[in-house]
Amino acid sequence: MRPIPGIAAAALLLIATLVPSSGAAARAQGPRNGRIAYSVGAILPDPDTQGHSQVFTVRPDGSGRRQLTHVTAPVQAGDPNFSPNGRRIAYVSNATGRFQVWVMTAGGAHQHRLVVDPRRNAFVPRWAPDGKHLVFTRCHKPFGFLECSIATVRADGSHLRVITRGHWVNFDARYAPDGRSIAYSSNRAGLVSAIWQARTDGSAAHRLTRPSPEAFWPDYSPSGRRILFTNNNDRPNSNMFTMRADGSHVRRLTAVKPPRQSGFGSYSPDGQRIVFDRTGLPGHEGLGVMNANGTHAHTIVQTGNLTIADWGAAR
Amino acid sequence: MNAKRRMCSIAVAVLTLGLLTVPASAGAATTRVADGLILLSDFQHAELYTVRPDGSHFRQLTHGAPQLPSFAPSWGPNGGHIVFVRNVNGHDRIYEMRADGTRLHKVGSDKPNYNDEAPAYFPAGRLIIFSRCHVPNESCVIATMRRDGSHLHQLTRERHDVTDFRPAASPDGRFVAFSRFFARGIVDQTWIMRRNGSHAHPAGAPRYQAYGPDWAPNGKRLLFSSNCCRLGGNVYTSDLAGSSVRKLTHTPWPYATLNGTYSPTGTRIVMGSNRRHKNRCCVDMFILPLRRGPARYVPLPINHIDQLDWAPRRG
Repeated sequence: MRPIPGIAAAALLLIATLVPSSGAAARAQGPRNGRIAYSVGAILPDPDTQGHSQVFTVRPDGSGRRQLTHVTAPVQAGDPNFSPNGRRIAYVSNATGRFQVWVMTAGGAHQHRLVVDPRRNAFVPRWAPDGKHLVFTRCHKPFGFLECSIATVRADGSHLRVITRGHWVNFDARYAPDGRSIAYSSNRAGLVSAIWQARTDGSAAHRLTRPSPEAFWPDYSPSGRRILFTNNNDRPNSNMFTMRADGSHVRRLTAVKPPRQSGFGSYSPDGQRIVFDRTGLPGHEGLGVMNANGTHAHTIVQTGNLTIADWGAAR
Repeated sequence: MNAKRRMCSIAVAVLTLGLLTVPASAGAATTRVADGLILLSDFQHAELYTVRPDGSHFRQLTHGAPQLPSFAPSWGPNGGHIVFVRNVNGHDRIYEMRADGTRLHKVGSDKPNYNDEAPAYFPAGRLIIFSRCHVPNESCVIATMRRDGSHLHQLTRERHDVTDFRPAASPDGRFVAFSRFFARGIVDQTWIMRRNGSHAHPAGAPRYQAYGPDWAPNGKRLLFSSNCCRLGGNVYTSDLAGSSVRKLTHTPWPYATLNGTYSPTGTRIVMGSNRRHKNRCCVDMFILPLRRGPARYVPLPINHIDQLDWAPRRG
């Protein structure tokens, strides 16, 4: 008997709704959590040039620590970020003079400078979701005043393009998971710091956070629906919050008291957890991990210094 | 978080007009008052000087540096006295002297852990308004005291990391304008309050990063410098609500024009600018006629001009 087309279509639709295909299931589940890359020390737009930093990776439970870079002081390496497929790590190093964007494999091999930008220092490189571009912070200090802009570059190091204008400090840019926009911190408009969002060409920039939280270090959740950030830029007593991608519905994740601080958070690839920096907690300073709702925070690596981390996808 | 917060190098340039102890109309002010000596400090030698607006009769008033550096001078009513800051044993204290540099004496107390900054007279000349800075708390409040140092009265509340600086009393003595740094996530903004400290409110958009407010002799507009903590500052005026902003100078980045002060007649402005020096080494004195014509460079034996104040002609 020939099936009745209408019923068959309805049945198929029902089945498709109730029982997702393996591909759909994989997309819904997202990438699995892999290793965490981190660096110890403040390699930020105004770096501590006396410090010494290396890039490490570690399992999410704190085991299996590997040192990937072995630069000799005063050379530093830090600000690591996994490529979307977890196979490569972008980071910055001043091995050739100024801080520049470097790339290596997730195992630490084939370390090479990706971007040659001799007139500026580069910080906080972050891959685009398609792995074909990176966004990073580009800084200099004319007459001692720090100024930073956001730039993008192709994954082969070509086509460097500065996408923010003005004499401000724009930094910490991240691509949204759909690759259409970026979020970044900026002191533009005379604010200490706020989270701004713009198209990937820098246009349509608009502020997401109010001035008072002094928000910085944004990171999109893998779904793209929420943005994680840290408050009290340049002040003690930082904590982490999330907000919707339009800046609404701010939710506090941590509530540590001085001298403790929690910040510089980054989502895990499955969006269920957050890796972050914990300071001011004697014996527990270093790399922290917690659930995405702020619960079950614990230290997985004691570093004793500011820890910048990124959680990679399982390969 | 770990980067150090930079505070602009700021000091007092407050216009006080003894002839305006009784509020007068703009027309009355411009007809009864004539422009007299300009009072200035320099950041290279840390001494105080007076000079006529044409650059003649340049005279050094203090001879204390380097052991006793002097800075942040402000004229008293009628140009008869000068109040300023002198650093003694590492502490900033308020001093007063006659306009010829004689009768030098300290005003106020030696309270430990406090620095007193940016003094200016109230129009009647009986009170000194200044910024009292609590060093351990990294905060400053606006306070008043009598000229003998008695009757200390705090007008703003001490808050960690918030700096209230460079107060200026309105010509009628009813209001005080001042610069507030790092409050509510805003780097710097002009605030206005009543003379008893009540009804404090911001006046102007944060993007100007306004500092060093100075009242027009008619009390209807405020002069301020922009870009407190960045390169490329210029001098503006606004109404008391912070609107109707008028840009008076157009010094291109990275140069700056700053520390503007009205002349007693309200027809000119004296200000400092580094625009003549490619390496930004030095700051010269300029006088800008408000009605027409460009700013005029005034050659002086010193070229590290810091604070400026303009007295009415005496006698």
